[in-house]
Amino acid sequence: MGTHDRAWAGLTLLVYGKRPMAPMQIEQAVANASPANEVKIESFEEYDDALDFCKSQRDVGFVLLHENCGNLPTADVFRQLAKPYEKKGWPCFGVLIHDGTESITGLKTMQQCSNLLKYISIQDLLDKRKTALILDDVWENFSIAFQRHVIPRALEETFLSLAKPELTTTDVHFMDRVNTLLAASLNLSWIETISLRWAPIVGAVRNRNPSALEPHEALVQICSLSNSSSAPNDMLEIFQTKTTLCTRLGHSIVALNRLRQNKMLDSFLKTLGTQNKPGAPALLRLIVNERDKILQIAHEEEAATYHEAAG
Amino acid sequence: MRSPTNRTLRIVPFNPSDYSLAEVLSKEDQSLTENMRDISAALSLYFQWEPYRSSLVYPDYKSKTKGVPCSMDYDRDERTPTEISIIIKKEAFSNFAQTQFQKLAIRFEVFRTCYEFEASALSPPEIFNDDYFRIIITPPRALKTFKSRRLPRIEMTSILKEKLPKTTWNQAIDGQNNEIDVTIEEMGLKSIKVKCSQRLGKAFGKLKMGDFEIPAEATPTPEGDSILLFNFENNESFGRYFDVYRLLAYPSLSPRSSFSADAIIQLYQMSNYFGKFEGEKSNEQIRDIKSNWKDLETAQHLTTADYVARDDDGAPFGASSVALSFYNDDRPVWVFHQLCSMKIEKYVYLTGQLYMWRAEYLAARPEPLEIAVWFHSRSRWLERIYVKYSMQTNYNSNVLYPIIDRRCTFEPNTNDSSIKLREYCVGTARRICTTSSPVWAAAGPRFLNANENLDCIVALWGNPTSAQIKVHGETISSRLTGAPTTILVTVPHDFNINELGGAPQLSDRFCHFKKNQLIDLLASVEHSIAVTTRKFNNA
Repeated sequence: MGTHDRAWAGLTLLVYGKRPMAPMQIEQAVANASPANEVKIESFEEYDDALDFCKSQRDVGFVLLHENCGNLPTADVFRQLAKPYEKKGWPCFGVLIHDGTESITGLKTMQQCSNLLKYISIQDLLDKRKTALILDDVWENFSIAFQRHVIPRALEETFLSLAKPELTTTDVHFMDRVNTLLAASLNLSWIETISLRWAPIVGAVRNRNPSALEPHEALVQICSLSNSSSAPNDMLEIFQTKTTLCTRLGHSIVALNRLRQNKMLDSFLKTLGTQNKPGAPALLRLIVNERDKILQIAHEEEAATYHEAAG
Repeated sequence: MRSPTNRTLRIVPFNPSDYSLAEVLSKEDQSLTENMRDISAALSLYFQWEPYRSSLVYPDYKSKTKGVPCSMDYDRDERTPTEISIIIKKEAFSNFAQTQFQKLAIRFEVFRTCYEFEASALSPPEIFNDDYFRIIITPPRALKTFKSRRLPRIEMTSILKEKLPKTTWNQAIDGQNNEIDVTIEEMGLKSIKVKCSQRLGKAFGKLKMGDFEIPAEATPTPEGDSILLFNFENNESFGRYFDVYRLLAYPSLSPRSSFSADAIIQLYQMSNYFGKFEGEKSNEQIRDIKSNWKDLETAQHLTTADYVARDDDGAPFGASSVALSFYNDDRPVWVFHQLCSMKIEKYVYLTGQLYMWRAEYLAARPEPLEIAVWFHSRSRWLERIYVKYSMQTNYNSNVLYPIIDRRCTFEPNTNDSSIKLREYCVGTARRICTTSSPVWAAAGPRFLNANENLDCIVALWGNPTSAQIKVHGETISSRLTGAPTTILVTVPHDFNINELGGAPQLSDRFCHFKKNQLIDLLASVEHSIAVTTRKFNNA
């Protein structure tokens, strides 16, 4: 999940540390595990060069920091490298890397910098068998952390509440689970996964209580990437539109939910199956291949709502 | 080497069938992976780097004869392909559409590593975008990997052929010497592919190019051509051939001697080659540099090779050199050194050529040899090349060392006869080096490297002490000049060098590797240049 083409879209990853050759070894380990992201990662052993790079690029949103920063405190180094990106209003995250054994200093640094998400071993990162797995895990953590920054838990509950009754709990859970199911196989960026998750809810809040969104410009901006509010009714039309994958997936999920609401999901997916052939759009093929799971999700969520209502 | 603006030079893509035709430098065992992440990474590399890839489809997947050039693609909405489109030009396989495929074999190459897999056809061939056929296949479940063990070969266009002297193949047939006109179709440093009016059998003979001859062995190909594998008699002969080859492969390169010394000095000054090391040179030093270069002229291809790249206006743009600098027991150790270039973005590809020619040149030299190079890791381009290379060859191999350098002066106090020294000529100048010591020490002539970087001691192995290093330095001083000699000392980065004193120097990395690993270095250079260029263009 952290190695596909658009995993880190819009970001540059920076590796920094003073241990000789370690930053470039980490850069190359990531490049070998994820050739698609090779040009998105840059490494440095000179602090001034790293900082100048961050200032000139202003898109270094993720730092892989080796805990050997020479004479400079590691936490300070992270904060300084993160600053140029954070001036744009977005948080910068990272991971701290140790030489095989966690150190007291490293653990302190992790406490001081809540945006350092994991404390990992360089040996694991450089192990060809593990690099991709670590990248996947890091990406997952990064996406969750960023989402949590943009929409804290309290706000999440508020929005869910404001979205009702336009979006019921069943709607929200069904769309969220189907999104998770389908997005795992699609070439989406970290920010698009957040957009897809929240766009239906933000759309419903906009319809019912637009002023509630005014303080949350960042979230609204992110959700506009999937633009699920203007979904075509005909799902087959969605596959043919020349919009971004994020928009097409967003529309597809809304359309699937609508079909579920109208008790037409099963029959539609059967019909869609006749369109599934080599060369058909990837999104169509994916939905057809995951038909059983989609129906299962629909069944489970509807059953849960029924039991809740009955209980 | 592809340039962004000049695509008349075509590198012949690697065809794994070729490697059986006596051109292999060394072949790695074919490895098979069924790890989906490894397979995905290899495919990702292919899809990312269109200018550096090629692929062939084999309709007869069992025998894998008659590969058809193709390209692969997939629906970019997917993270990893669940089906792959094979796209073939109609003219490449005219009866493709009529052929029933169940299984196909695909070979693809990217950055000189070749992969092979079998796949099932998911659809019959169909016409695609008017001029192409498309067939959709399953993605690979297993991937065979083998590295290209062949030096680059240049495809000879009619324009390139005009640059070559008249070429004939001379071999004895039935006791009679026959001279046969040949047309060179592909040209490499160790071999060429030729077409002749008559089919050549497997035989020894001589290739005559203009006024010099190269012994070679001819091997016919199934297509009716012949591969001539060279057997250079000496390095002069190799050097002469290199100077023909580089006209085609590296058209911007010329020997340093074809420029005035003043022009090259100016290049070094303007590119900050002097400035980043010792600072600008005094008039006396410049005079001595020019004098040394005169001494070195006859060393070209024997113990040195010095080339300069010209820009589009013919002015010197950059320079790079190789020099026989040490002996590791009996094995000559050549050093990449003295690379400089003007920092002009549109000439990034020329800078790449200044790296590539050296690796190709040494890989093709007839004698066994080793290679060494110093660099400063602050050049992320260089760090990328050599770290990528060291990780691709073997994650655990000691080829790349973090070091510190000091420039120390050694008095000629000691002449330790237990240190075995060897003396050889570099042109009309003299060089002395150790032979069978874990400490490499060598010096002379002073400006073999214009920054005096090849009067040096490399003490990275065998845990030498400062005292041992000092003895080596003093012995070299004593034997070379009998006068105090300033020598660059290279030690591991955590060595306590303070006892030796000296002035800190710039380089902080040392790389040492074997000749048969140069192919991997070529791949690493090419890949690193591609990455750096793309990063620059994206910025």
